[in-house]
Amino acid sequence: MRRYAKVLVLAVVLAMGAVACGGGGGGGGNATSSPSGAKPQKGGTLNIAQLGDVTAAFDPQKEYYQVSFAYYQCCLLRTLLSYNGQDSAHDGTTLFPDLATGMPEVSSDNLTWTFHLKQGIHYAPPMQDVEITAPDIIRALYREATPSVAAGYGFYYNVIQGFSDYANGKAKTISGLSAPDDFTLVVKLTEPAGDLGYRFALPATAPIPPSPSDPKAVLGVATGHDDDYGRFLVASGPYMFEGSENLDFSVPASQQKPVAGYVPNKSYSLVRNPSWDPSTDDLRPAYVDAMQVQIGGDESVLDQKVEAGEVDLVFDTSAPEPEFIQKFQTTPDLKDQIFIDPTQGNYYATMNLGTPPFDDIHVRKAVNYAIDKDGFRRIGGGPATAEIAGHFVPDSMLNNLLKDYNPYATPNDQGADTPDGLNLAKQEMAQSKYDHNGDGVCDDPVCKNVLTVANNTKTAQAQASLIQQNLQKIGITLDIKSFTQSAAYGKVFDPKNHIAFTTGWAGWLKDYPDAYTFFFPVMYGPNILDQYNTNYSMVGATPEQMKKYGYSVTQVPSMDAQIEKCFPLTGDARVQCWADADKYLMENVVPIIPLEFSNNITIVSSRITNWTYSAYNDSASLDYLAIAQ
Amino acid sequence: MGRYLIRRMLFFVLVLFVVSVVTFIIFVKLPSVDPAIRAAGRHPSPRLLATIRHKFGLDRPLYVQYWNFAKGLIPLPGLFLNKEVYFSYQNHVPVSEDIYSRLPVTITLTVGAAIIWLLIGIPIGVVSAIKPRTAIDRAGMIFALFGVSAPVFWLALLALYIFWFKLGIAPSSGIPPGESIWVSILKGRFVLPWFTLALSTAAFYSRMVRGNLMEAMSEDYIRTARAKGLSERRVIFKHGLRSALTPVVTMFGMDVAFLLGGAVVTETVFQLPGIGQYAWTAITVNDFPPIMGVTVLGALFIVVANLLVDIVYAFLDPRVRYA
Repeated sequence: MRRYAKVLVLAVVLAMGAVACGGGGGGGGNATSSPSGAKPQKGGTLNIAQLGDVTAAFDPQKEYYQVSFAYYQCCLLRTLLSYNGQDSAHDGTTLFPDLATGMPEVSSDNLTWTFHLKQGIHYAPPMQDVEITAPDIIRALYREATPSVAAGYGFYYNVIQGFSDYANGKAKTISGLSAPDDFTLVVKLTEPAGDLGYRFALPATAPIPPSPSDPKAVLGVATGHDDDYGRFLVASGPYMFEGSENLDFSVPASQQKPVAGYVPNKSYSLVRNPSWDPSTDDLRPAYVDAMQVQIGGDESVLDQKVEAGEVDLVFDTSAPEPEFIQKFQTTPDLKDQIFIDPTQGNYYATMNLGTPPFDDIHVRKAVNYAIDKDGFRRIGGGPATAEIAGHFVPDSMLNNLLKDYNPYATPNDQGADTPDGLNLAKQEMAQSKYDHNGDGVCDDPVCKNVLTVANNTKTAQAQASLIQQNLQKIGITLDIKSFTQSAAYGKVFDPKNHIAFTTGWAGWLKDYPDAYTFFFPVMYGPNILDQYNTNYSMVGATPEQMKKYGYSVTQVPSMDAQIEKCFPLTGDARVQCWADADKYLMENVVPIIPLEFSNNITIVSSRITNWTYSAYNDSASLDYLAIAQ
Repeated sequence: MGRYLIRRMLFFVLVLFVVSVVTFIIFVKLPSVDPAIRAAGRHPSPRLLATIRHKFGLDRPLYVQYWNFAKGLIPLPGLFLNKEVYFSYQNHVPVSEDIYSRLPVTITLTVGAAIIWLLIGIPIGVVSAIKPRTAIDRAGMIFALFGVSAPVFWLALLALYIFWFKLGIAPSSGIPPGESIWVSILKGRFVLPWFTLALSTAAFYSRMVRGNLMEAMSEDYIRTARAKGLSERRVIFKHGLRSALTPVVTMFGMDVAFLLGGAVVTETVFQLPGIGQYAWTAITVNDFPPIMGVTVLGALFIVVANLLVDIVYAFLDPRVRYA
């Protein structure tokens, strides 16, 4: 989950205080938007603020975080395939060739993928004389599999023949990767993976140049930089870290000096990569000449700096402070400087299928009817912050196939806070084995003091209280234990803790625009882990696992067959398969209460003359931002 | 004096030992997420977790882990904050590199603030003491109450809002990438942080000086000085204030040392890349080596400052002698 860090911060979006309800800002739904009405011009320096640094010091094989992925995609690294930096209505989640000449050729058995690379594309200085070739992509994948590197998401490449054997020390090479010539990459899989193209758009596959002092070194210039390659990164995109030209890969790694333009936890300075040739890159306009990024500070002060024009935007995963959202939405001079766009992320409450009363599907359905989703969103900031969710996967990832699907709809989405909603919940509860007298209120002791984990922020506490009141109406009382976001995740990630319920502070965001990145980590039985278990509803756990973790309930429903059915599919058939899986999940398994599909809210300075939202990055497209000259 | 210094040095070692043990235990016992799991990303294989644990030294017995950290606290070249143990689990940057690069910011902030709080606090205290129950004294009291009760984060936000955002007469927060500390000082980027940080301490000092000076001015030796015909100014500043400042020196040493360990709130709000901001970042991601490094560095500053204060004491107050 590149999104662990993001998910943590997404909570901040919900943690906002009351925000005035209102329509979206100037940019919602547009491919590009110009607050000033001016045509974008090249040049200038974009001033960016970030609350915190990226999570792995820009190491492309380790970073698993929305912000770093955005910098890679827009600016620093090119991959075989990539995205156009636009919103989903303008193909922002569609794959396009980047370093590749076209889309990959896939064999009839879906097990062999062949990529052809463009010729004549060179790295940034000091490797400006080195052409990007297929072995450089292979080098990156070897680094992702190298144990001493401790990379971030090698599991996406385990489908490549020999990848996991190499990673586990059982093989000396990755047999499924080959380069018949410098500009052809052949990837052989152990099983079909219809989304492999998306995986070759992730930064872990961005090329790493060979080492000038040892051309045969498996990891190329990253040799000796298992822990700090990000500070020695050789760029291939339109920008590079300032001072990259001074990197000296001819001396041993221990004697090399890191790039000056990236000071961890302090600042980044990105300048144009003189090797980048716009004629080879249809995806990135790269308007500004440079980007200066300062890290740290107080959110409200940074928002003030945006309003004052000292900072062009706060590029982070949290939303602006509520009073600034309100101010920018309601002040005529500012309303063109706020942009509200849907992310491909969600928030949901979870029920543990192994913990009574949630081992009973009628209870789980009753809870879905009971929760006041509108109230939950109102506490979190109102309609600007999110769409109310009726199912698991964000609509834009399912081509809106389930746009109007909500099997537990209640009047105004207010759940048990309306008489009709309460009736629906009670009707469902009455069918439960835990409602002995059939009055729609759980009267079994298992419904009392249900172990619940909540986030301890003020907003999350208010939301937890609302849910607590909702569930009381159907006889479920919650024993809420509150923690910091990080500690709360620590509790629910351990299946031995038997956390029965969570109150909607947790969410998920895609790694790439395919519902695989939702179902596989969160709802797939084989992914249940002893530690860091993100499937904390225990969907698809085996009886052995349930016994191992000490559950009295050993039979729980599974999504495995529905999920596995989608693995080999591509195109529309794949999207339809995921939509079917989502419906199956919501009607036959029901491990969650979907609450919100989140929005991204960004305010920008008046200097910004061109705004574009990247649906892939769920953030501003930095390469599309232009500033007044 | 020699024996006294040896005793203090031994005490210093004991303090560092206790601080390091407590910090280590907090880290070992209370982490919300295993650092290895946090670093491994999703779906970590047992082999990957073992690799990371080994890399971080988390596969060793606890006493070995502690000893490895403890060695890095010995202030000798090659040992102090050695890179093999003291590196960020988050970005692998050596703790020493981060601390040394951030120390100038924290020192600048602390020294500037200290000068300001002395320049504000002592004169107000003196005037209040020599003119008790006058309008000036009352104004001094109001200043003290405001300064002591206003939280630093609130003062910082207020100062930025008024003097930068509304009036535009002060720079905003932050130091642009590449700008040297001297240029930042010249551009006035530290003015608001200095005053914000100094205000509460100045308020406290003013009350302390007032009380001490009023007490000193009622002593017999003051009456004697007056009887000898010394001017009132000389009586106050040479005899009264000297005595009244003795406890202030103690507090001053402690306050400066404390801030050298990082003014977390001020540095965070004003976006100053100092030790405090570094510590805060490390705490939020449970990054133990930087936390350990900063905590012990803070303890080191406090112990050394105490030692210096004790020595200065002997010169300020002739009655104090160390044997």
